[in-house]
Amino acid sequence: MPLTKLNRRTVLRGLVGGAAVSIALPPLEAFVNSSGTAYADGTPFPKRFGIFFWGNGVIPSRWAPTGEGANWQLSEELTPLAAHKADINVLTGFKVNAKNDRPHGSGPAGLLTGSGLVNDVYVGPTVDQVLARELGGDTRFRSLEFGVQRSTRSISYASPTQMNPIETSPAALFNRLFGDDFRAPGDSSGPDPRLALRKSVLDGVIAQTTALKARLGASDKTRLDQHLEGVRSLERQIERLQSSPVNLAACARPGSPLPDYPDIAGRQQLSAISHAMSDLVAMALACDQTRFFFDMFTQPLTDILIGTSAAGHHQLTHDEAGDQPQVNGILVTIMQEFAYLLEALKRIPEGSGTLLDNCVILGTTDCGFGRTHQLTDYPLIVAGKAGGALKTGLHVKSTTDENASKLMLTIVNAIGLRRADYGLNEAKTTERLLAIEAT
Amino acid sequence: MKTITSRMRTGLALGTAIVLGALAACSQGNGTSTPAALGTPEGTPRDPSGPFAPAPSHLRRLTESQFQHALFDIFGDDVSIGLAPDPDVIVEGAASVGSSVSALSPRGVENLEAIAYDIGKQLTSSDAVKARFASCLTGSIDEACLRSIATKYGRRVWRRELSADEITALVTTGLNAGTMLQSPVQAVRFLVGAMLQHPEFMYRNEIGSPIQGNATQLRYSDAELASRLAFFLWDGPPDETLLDAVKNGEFAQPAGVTAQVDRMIADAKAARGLRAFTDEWLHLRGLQDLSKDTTIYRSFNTEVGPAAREEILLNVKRIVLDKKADLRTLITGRETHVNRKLASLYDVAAPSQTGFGLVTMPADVPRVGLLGTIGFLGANSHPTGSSPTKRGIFIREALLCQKIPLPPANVNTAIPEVTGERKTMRERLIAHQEVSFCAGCHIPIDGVGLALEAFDGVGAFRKTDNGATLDLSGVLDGINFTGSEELAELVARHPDFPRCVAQNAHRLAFGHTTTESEQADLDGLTTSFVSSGHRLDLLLRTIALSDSFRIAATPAAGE
Repeated sequence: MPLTKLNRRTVLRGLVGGAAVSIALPPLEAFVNSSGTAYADGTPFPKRFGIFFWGNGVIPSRWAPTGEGANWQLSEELTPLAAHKADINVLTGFKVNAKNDRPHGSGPAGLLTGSGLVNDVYVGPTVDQVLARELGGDTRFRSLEFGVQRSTRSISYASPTQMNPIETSPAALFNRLFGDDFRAPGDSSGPDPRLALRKSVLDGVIAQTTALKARLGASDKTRLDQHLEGVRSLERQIERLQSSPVNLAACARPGSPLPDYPDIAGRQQLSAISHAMSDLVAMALACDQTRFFFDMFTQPLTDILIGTSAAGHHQLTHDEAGDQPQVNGILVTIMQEFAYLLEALKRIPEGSGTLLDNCVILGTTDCGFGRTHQLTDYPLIVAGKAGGALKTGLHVKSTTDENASKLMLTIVNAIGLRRADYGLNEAKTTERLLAIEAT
Repeated sequence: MKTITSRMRTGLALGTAIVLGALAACSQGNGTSTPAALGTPEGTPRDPSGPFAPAPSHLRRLTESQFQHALFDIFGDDVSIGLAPDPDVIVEGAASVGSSVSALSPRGVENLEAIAYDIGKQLTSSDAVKARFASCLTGSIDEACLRSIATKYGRRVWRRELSADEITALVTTGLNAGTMLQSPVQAVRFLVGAMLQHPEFMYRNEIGSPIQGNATQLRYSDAELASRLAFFLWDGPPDETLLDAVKNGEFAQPAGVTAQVDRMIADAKAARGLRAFTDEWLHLRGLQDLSKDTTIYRSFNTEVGPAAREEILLNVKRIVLDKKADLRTLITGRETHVNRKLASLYDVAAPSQTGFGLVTMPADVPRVGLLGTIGFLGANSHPTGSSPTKRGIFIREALLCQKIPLPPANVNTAIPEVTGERKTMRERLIAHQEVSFCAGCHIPIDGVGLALEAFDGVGAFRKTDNGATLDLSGVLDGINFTGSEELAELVARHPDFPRCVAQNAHRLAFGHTTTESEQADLDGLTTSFVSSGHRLDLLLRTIALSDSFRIAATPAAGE
């Protein structure tokens, strides 16, 4: 078991003297060791991984910071991240080594699966799902997918044909996370008897699906195996609800967001929705409801109207002349929302630091330069220290089109999955990005 | 957002797929014939088809609409159903193809569970629904009542007769829940919850059985054929009558199948099947989220997209099911269904205060048929302006099934800005075409789309673009023409059009893009479609009754 199992027993193990079954809301300090980096028995805080994604790339000349290493200055498009400069690494000059045959599609596929699209389909699960599958079994939700631009689609794939739908209504996400099924810390009522019945029905579904599988060809068998994986993950979710809620000091049921965020003059209220979503996911992590998330701020190739722009985002990236002031303005807006997500994570104390310290949040998009769809100068921001596995506050500048898979291999290992390589074919690497690894 | 309609490419970026074929459309189109008499455009050259062989069948996941129709049909249209568990997976531009290769995501499995119990709750909550669904429900847990529910609804949900053991298992689930929770209502809810989570509800159990003496083919059972027919013609599950026909052995004779198919096409639910066909063929679903910059298009609001979709769906229904007319009148006719909002955008008198009514477009405006609708013009535009390129691509890909390659990566795709001497989109695109690299594809695409520049980014008629007069000349596969009316004529008589319609119907029926070994079947469907007078209702019937609809290839190892 590579990651902490944060069940009630773990928590009690952390209690001084271990004789505190009656404690309702013990202070956080009781759980942590003297240096504030782990629980009292030495088990570390869980590591979390999230992706903040937006469509249409950046303008590399207005994106890349000046200076490098620890001595660097934020660029114009990165200015909104000023308050988090010490908590992020910005990588420039890296390349997603995928065949670039699908504008806005090849880049994310290459980065997140380590291969371009093959026959226009993802070759395997995306990295968030690889991690969630291996390490996400201890929490109520294996992973959370949500977004801000209205859509049900994501680029988070549990398998090549299993796209995880996203939630874009803050109220619906709230209900899923903190609705009736949620038990706040200190809730000592016994588990709902319906949970056992639900689980028993799912046991039946597993038997029926296995019987159906026996009559099918190989590819359909695989599909039903994928279905079964979902059923088993739901069973685990129910088991988590049956055990007593983990008593985490920073966890509390948050206030409910607005029921609706109506469009204003044909524009979505992106900022208000994004803030609500960021607050919710931060609390979901604080309550250890999940450890993996995918935030689709906008869709790949999005033509949504953002801020005060006079045309859709995608159209502007191609049609706006000169140094593209409107596209630039859109990027600043998007980075403000990314900054808010980081702020929400930092607002939650964990040990002697913050929740963000135990995260890796990857900020990225669907191409390098929106106008050309290039996969060089791929925008990559890494926030958080993965519980001390990573250094932050760096601008890592490559002048050799280094393989972006190196970063992914580093992230996967930093989160706790021991892997020697990442990616296929030309995107494959066995080298990690040592510049950001803590020694 | 117009993620789906604008371009199949959008779907690609979302990890879905399209098969790229020959770049036929990019190598032709420099036609020089005279516009005086419109000829017939050249079709896409095609190799002769080889002998027919069926393709393998795959377990099809219910699409979003099939899922919703199933619950309405089985439990009554007063149950309220939100979203399907997972959005459709679009593969090769089609939800029907995606349904054959995808499984529910883990989130989808979770959603299905929630929906299943919610339906159970609804069926036992309101008195009216309870009286219909579970009139036997009393204050105590009643095994006979649970058995009657399992017997009556199980076959509808799983689309086949249940074994005694299967019924008992459902009853036992109900009894256990009722006993543990001390609630007869909970007994019913868990029975329903278990029934709907069974894999044969969410996945269509059309698998086929070996044919004696034929190692390469499988044949669908009568129950499986009934399920295929219902989802193809109704976009929903078999009804009681169809299940009874199977149970009573009526499918043993071809006449029995024919009688059911004719009944199904005459049934009101055939309109749903036609909607599924039309949505997929004309990429209408993206219209649900159509957005425009309302500072430019002041009369636009979020009602427009869904209304524009409905307009096209109603037009297809009128032509195909009500009038049983030539499908090409969808392209060339001046009649259309509009509501008040669409009427104001089309600048015609609203036919009724509420809902949709039929109007005839005035003869002095070049607005004819599908190519004159907002569902085509507005969907294939930018949020802030028209796009001859998107419109041209739609005509070539959706209506003629020609393949257009994607723009290569790493090129500057910027269209030159509006200047004093370059005001119209034509002038800007022609400047773009001067880059020979771009011209190969853009001339045949834009040459079609530029003829529609009399309609702005929503689809409103205009006489000028940025103050400049419009040149509406175009060229389609060797024929010069001017304006939208001539373009509509050319598309309707294009030799690729009927085959494209047949190909769309075939894909919907079989759940995959027509394979090489099925081309002979497609040849036959195309010929019969043309000789029937381009009757889509008859094309669907022909497919439903065809031998190939009853068989599939035995899956090879690894398939």
